[in-house]
Amino acid sequence: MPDIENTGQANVYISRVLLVGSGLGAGVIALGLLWFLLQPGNGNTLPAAPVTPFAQLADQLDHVGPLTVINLGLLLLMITPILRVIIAVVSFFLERDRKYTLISLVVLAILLFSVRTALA
Amino acid sequence: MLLYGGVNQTTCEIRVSSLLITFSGMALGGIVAGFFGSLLGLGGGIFIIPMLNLIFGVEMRSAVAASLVAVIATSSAAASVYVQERLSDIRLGMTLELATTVGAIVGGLLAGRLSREALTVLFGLLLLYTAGSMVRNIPAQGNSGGPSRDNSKKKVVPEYQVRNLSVGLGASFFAGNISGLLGVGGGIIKVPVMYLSMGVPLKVASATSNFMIGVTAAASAFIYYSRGDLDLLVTGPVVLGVFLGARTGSRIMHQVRTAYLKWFFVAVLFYTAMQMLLKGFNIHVLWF
Repeated sequence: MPDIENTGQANVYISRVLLVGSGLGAGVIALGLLWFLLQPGNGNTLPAAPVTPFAQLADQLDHVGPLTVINLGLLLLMITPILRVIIAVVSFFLERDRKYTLISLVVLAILLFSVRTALA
Repeated sequence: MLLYGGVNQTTCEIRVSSLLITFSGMALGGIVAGFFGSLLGLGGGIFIIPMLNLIFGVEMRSAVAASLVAVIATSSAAASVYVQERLSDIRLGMTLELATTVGAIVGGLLAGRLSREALTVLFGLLLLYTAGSMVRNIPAQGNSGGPSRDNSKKKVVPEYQVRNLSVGLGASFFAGNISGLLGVGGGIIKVPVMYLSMGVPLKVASATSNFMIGVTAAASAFIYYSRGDLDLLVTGPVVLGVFLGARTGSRIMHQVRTAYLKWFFVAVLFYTAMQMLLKGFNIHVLWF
């Protein structure tokens, strides 16, 4: 499989998505943490703050707090690799490379199966 | 010293002098872990999880979940460089991901069934294995086991033919399993297999492994998310720290002779492994 050159254009897209996705995610998390620290009445204890299930996350969007912001930042980071696979699917498809379109589609399906567990 | 109550806390009530100190401590730990992890080619997880568990008293599964998100962040940042330099073999990576993602999901589900003691012991064993491969100079990344400055600037990928794909798929399943169960990238398994048994050049192997790590970690991170193991106030500072540390580490990677660091970190890994094993077996020795 030495034909790395062929996927040149896809490489550039993948690279950009990865950089923007991870940078944006980190930035949003930093903002959320800062907001959390600046809130009065936090006390001195670090409360347990588990992530919100997807279903309830939508409800939280009405009254966004610092924890919601951190949660969204984490999700941004977590979906970046999925975007990467989607780009691979599209670029292999455009290259009419059936074998690798199929392979990356299966990888995408496996990832989406995992995401689905967090929907419940 | 317990600074954090954690999810599903049972034993500890938290007394922290200040939130800011805890946040800074975790972020600083993340920076150190990310910096030396990328410098040694190990990834941040191998240091961050024991730190969270032993020093901050974070529940093992929450520590693993935090590390997985940190792994995703650093993999995305690092892979963006590798992919642009066309060092990673995306076709090979995607093929092996068929196995790593399934392995990661199985590992993530398994982590929900194992006791925290069992997870702690398993992590201790992983630390021992890592220390062992450092001693024997088995490559975890392109840079470990000596300076590789000479060819770091070259972007020419030598011709190669992938051999033993089934061995690679098997090893990838196992690597994904370890990643999903213990929150590390799994490069320590994939890179040697690609390099030694599949005929992939070392630089391509480590770049491809890096490309895969984020996808693998995402596969199990959502399992941890669904269980509520992912804690926002632990993961946030840790991810930021590891992200910053790893970026700095990979930038100066080629200017540092890692050989000097090697023995120091073999000792650190060994010491940490002992701590984790003792904790896992509930043996209390005060030798701090």
